[in-house]
Amino acid sequence: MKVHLLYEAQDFDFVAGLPPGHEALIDDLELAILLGAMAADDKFLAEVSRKVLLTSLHDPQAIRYRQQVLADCLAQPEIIREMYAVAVGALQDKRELWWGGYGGNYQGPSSNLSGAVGHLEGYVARLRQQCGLFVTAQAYRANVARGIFTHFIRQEDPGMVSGRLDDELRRMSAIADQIGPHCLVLFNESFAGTNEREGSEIGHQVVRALLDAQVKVFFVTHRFDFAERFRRQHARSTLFLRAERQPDGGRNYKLAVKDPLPTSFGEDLYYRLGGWLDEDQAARAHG
Amino acid sequence: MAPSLLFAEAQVAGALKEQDEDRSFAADLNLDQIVTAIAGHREEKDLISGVLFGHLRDAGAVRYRQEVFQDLDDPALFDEAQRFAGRMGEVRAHLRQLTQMRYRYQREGWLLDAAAIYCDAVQSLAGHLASAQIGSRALLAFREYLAAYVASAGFTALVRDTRSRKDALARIRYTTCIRGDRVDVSRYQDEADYSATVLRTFERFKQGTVKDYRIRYRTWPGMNHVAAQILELVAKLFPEEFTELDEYCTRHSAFLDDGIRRADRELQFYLAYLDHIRPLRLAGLPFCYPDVSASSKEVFAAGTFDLALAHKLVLDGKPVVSNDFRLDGRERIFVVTGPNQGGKTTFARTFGQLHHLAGVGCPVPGSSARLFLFDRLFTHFAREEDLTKLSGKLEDDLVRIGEILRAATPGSIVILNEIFASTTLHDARFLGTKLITKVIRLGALCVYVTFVDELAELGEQVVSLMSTVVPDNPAERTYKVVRKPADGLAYALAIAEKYDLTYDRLRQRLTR
Repeated sequence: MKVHLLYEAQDFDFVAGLPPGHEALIDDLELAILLGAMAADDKFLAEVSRKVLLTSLHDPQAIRYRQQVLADCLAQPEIIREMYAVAVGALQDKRELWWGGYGGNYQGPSSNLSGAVGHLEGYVARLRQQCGLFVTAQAYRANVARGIFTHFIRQEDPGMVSGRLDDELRRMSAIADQIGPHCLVLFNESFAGTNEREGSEIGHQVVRALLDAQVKVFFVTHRFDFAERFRRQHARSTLFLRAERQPDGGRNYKLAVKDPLPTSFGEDLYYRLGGWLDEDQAARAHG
Repeated sequence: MAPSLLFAEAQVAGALKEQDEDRSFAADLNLDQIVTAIAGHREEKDLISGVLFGHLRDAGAVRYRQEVFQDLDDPALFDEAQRFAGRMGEVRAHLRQLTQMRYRYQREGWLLDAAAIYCDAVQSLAGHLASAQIGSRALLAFREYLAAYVASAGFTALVRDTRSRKDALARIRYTTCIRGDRVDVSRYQDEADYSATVLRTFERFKQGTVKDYRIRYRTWPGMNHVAAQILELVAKLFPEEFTELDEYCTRHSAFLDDGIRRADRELQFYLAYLDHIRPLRLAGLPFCYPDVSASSKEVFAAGTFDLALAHKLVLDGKPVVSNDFRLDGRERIFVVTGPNQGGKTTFARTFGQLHHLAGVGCPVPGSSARLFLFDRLFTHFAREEDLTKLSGKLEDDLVRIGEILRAATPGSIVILNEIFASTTLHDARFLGTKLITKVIRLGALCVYVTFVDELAELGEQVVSLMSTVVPDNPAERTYKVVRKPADGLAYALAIAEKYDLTYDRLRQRLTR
C-alpha cells in the first residue's frame, strides 16, 4: 500500500537537493525555530520537515491537496497519532528482526508508510504550536511564487576578506543567477554598505531590473532617497508601508499604508531616551 | 624576592584582575583573534591571554615591558631565552610524569634527571645573561637575582649532589642473565661483552652504514614489572649508591625555585608575542616601540597596519597595505568616510589594536608611533539585526551608545563603525552630530566610520579621513586611508558593475 500524504499521486522525493539559497532563507526568516518546533527533537522528523518546508509547490492544486490533508489532521489528531505509532512500531519490529539475524529489507514499503505518516505527525506537532503549514493569518490570498529569495543585512565579515557592500553585492549576484519570472525577493536594509546617494542608486537599478523581469519585490529600507524615487516614478506599481508610530513615540508593530518619510523618528527617540548632551537632558527634564 | 618580568613593582596581583572588565571591544577589533593566535596551546596560555587582554595606564609600567622586548630583539639572547624556556618545559614535564610512576627508583631517577636539566638550564642562562648586553630593568634585576641564586648554598648543593648522584649511578655496572623465565642480576665482573661478540659475528653481513631505526625509549616513562624487578635487584647489589639516591631525593624534592619558575612563566608572554610577529617581520613589516603617554593625545603612527589582517595576508603570501595617522593640537576625532571595501573598518580596528597593544607594552605595527594610554576602550560596530528582540535596531544602538558615553572619560577611546546605518540619512546626521558634539566636549579620542559626510566638518577637533580608490579604476581599492575632506564619492556603482548588477547588466542576466 502506498500512502500519499504530500502529493496526490506521487511520493515525496527525499533524494532531491534543496532549492538554491535555502541556507539564507533559513537564516533570514529564522526558520530554524519553526523547524525545531516541528521536529520536536526527532531527527527523522527534522529531516522531513526541512525538506518539505523548503521545497515549495508551484501548482495551486497541489497546495490545496496538502491543505486538505492538513485540515483532516486538525480535525482528527488521534487517528494521525495512531497511524504514526503503528508505522513506527512496524519499523521497529522489522529492525528487531534484522538484529535477530533474520535479515529484512529496511528500505521496504514500511519506510514509505512511516515517512508519509511522519509528515502528518509533523503537522500535528506544528498545529499544537499554533503555527501550521497554514499561514498565520485570518485570511490570506497570494499568487504562487516560483521561488523565494532573501537578501538581508549581514554583519561585517570577521574573516576580513570583504567589505559589507562587496558581500551584499556578491549575494545579490548569486540570487540573480537563480531567479526568474514570478519569483519573490525579500530585501531587508539591503545596500546599506555605502552612502545614501549611491546605495539608493544601486537599490533603484537592481529593483527596477527585477520588476521588469516579472519578479515581485518586498523591500524594507530606511533610505528615503530610494523610497521617494519609487513614489515619484513607480507609484502605481508600488505599495508603501510604514511602521506605525503612536503619539507618545511608542510602537504597536503595525504597518500602515503610508508614503515614505525622510525621518525614522530618531530625533524623538533620542530625546525620549534622555539625550547625551547636558542641555538635551535639561531640556527633557523641563519639557 | 624575585623580580617580575611583567610589572615594575609588586603592584599587581590586582592589576590584572581589575581589568577583567567588559571585553566586547576585543571581538570588534579582532583582538580576540590576535590573542588566541599568540597564546595558542602554550602551557602558559592563560597567563599570556590575561596579560594581552589587560592594559597598563602608566607610561613607566609600559616602558618596563618594552625594555624587555627590546633586550629580546637581540637574536642571541632570544635564542638563549627560548632554550631556557624549552628546558624548563622539559623539567616540568619530568616532574609531571614522575607523579604517575609506580616504582620508587624510577621516580627517583626521573627527579634526578629533572634536577640535572634544571641545573643546566639555570647555569646556562646565568652564564649568558652575565655577559649579555641588556638594558631592561626587569632583566637586569633578574640577572642579579639569578647570579645570587646560582651562588647560593642551596643551588650549589643541588648542582653538586646532582652531579655526584649522576656519576655514581653511571658507574654502576651489572649483568643480567636470562634463562627461560628466570632472570639473574649480578655485579659486572669483567665478563666478556656478549653484545660485542654478537656484533663482531655479524660484522661481515654489514653493507655500509644504515639509518638508525631504533627508537630512543630512554625518555619513555613506562616501565614493566620485569624491568622494575631488575631495578630492585640492582639496588640491592649497590645499596650505598641507592641509599644516597634516596637521601638526595628527600633533600631536593622541591628543587624548583619560585623566582626562577616565575621568570620562566612570565618570559612565555614575551616569547609568544615575538614568535607571533616574527613571520611578519621576516616579510618586511615594521614593528616599533611607541612613545606612550597618559596625558598627551597628540598621537601618530607611521606605516601601521592591522595585526590580525596582516597575519592572515602574510600567511597567504599577499601584500599588506600600511597607513599613517596623526592628531595634532586640539584634534581628537577621526571621521572616516569614502568608498566601501576601502579599508575604513580596517583603519578603525588598527587604531584600536595599536592603542591596546601599546598599553600592554608590546612592540606595535608601524615604523614609528606615539600613542595614548587610555583608561577604557569602547567600540560599537554595526551588527546583524536580532529578530528575537522586539526593540528596534536604532533604539538598541542609542541605548548602547548612551551606556558608552556615560562610562567614557576624557581618557577613553571610542571607536564607532557604521552605527546608525539602519536609519534615515536625516536621522543619522542628527544623531551623529549629537554624538560627535558629546565626544568633543568629553575630549576623548574617537574614530567614527560613517557614510554621512557632514560629520567630518564639525569642528577643529574633527579630522576628515577618506578611503581611496585607484583613480582610473574605481573598482580597485588602494586600502589607503588619507586626510582629505569628505567628497561624497563612494564609487559603489563601480562595485555594482563588477558584479554585473547595474540595471542594464542585470536586465540582460534576467532575460536569459
